[in-house]
Amino acid sequence: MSDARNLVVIGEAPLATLAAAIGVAERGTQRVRVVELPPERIAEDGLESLAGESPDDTDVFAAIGPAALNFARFDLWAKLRFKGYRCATLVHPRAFVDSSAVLAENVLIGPGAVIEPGAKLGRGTIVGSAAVIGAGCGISPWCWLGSRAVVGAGAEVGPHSVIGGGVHLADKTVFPGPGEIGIAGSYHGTFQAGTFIASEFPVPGARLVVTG
Amino acid sequence: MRSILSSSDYTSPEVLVAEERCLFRRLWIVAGFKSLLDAPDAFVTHRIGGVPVVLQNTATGLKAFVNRCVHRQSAIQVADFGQRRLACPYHGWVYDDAGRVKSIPGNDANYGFTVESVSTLGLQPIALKTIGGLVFVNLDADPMPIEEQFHAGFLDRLAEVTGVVGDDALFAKFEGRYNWKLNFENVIDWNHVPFVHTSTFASLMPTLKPPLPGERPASPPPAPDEEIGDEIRELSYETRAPFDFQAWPWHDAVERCADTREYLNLFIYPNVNYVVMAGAVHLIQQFTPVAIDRTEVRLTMALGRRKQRLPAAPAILWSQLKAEKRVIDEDLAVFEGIQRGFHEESPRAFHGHYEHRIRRVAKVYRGLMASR
Repeated sequence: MSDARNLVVIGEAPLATLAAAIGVAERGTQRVRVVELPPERIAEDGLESLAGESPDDTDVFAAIGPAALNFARFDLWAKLRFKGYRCATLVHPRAFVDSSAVLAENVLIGPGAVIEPGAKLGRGTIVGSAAVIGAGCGISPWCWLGSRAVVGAGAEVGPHSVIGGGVHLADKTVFPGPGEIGIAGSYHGTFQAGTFIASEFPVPGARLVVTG
Repeated sequence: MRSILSSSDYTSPEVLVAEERCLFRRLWIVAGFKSLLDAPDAFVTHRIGGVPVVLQNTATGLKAFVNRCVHRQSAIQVADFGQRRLACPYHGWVYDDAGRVKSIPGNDANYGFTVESVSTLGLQPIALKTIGGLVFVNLDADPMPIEEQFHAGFLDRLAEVTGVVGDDALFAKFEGRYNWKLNFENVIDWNHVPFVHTSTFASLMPTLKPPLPGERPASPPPAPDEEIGDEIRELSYETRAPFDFQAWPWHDAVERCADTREYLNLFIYPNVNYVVMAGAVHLIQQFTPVAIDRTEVRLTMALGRRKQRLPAAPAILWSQLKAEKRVIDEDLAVFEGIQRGFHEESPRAFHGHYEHRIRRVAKVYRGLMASR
């Protein structure tokens, strides 16, 4: 991606703040702009704030947190793509991404995060500060990996999953999305599809019964 | 007025034994949403009146059986929900659509049963009835007509409300350390809401704050106990609370039972509070006793049938279920405090005018418990 292109970060803090900081480090202050947009206004927003920005010389970044299992960020990304914009991939200068790792668009890698060899991160996935994505991991599109989350080597995380801060998935763990692990701690094995673990529903948590 | 029930009704293990016999194995009990059993071999398991129960979608329709293999009495289906044929996981015995033994792996080598000797063996069938999108079961050998337990108008309303439920659903269960009857008494007690749910419901429903003196007309005195009806059908009814749920764009993507932002309750005696939020989100709250002082709460939350693609359904259900659990946790803290306070010489609860519905529940309960 060319550093000569402008970047408009659309969303809300704290992700928008982090995305803008990475953008400034890559492209300079003059080329980065932030547009505030909370998740509850995405549906009604017509993206008028981008009226003066051409997709020919401007990249965008959908900086919405894990609201609604990352569907809110997905909705904004879809709107941006429909308008013809390309979404940037943002890697913090103090993150380490192995050259054999694959990062899709609208992925953000936070400061201190480590992406080990052969890991693949799908579109729209956010990796928080000091998180570690092990070698050969498959992280599907529209995931959220909180600060200090660790995904062991060879693990698989399904789409629209939220892996909270301080969660450690052992090597080769399979966590099919959509779902959430919101309680810090170590987890291993193969989870049932649609598993939700949070303070309201600690282990065994809640589970999707049928999804159309 | 002192409560009709005493502390021993909430603490004595013998009471639970009688309740399982007189209520839970006699009455029609909600078993879940029919829409979650639509797929071939879909099942749901329960424990009702101490009896393990499985509902199974078979090639010849929806069936209910005691969930216990005739061989060595293992559960046939172990998970709460799933999709799997009727086969015992212990030694592989397989059952047909009628619950009869269909095949026994290694019969000749290990068991030596003749065809005749196993032809009479099978899972014990359980009566099942579908009302709209809701499935009921009755464990009695001679089940009462469901119309004896619920008014015809209430059954019609249940069918109407639950008939729109789709197959997107989220399930969770957990236990609280309290007697299950406190739960039903609580859901029909609207007056606790502004006190207990200050950080949840109260913000959605500012009109629920306690009235100032003279602000509302005084409640009429209730009928004396001897004049309270003992009609079980009066215990299940519908109420509405004027909540103002946010209108979300996804509301248009599902069938709604009403175009409203209200909170609708259908109380289904003895142990279900059926909730509908904004006509779009349906919730079965079920309170099942596992001991006299322990209750299993089962929450099954579902959306109305999809009218269009709704990939975010899991996210919608998850956020709604978490919000609902926060409300329930506020109640559970109260129940567990009440339960801890019970002792042999506990005075009975003291009721005012508005608590006549709780007294009617107790009177019907007494009648049911004395009937067998």
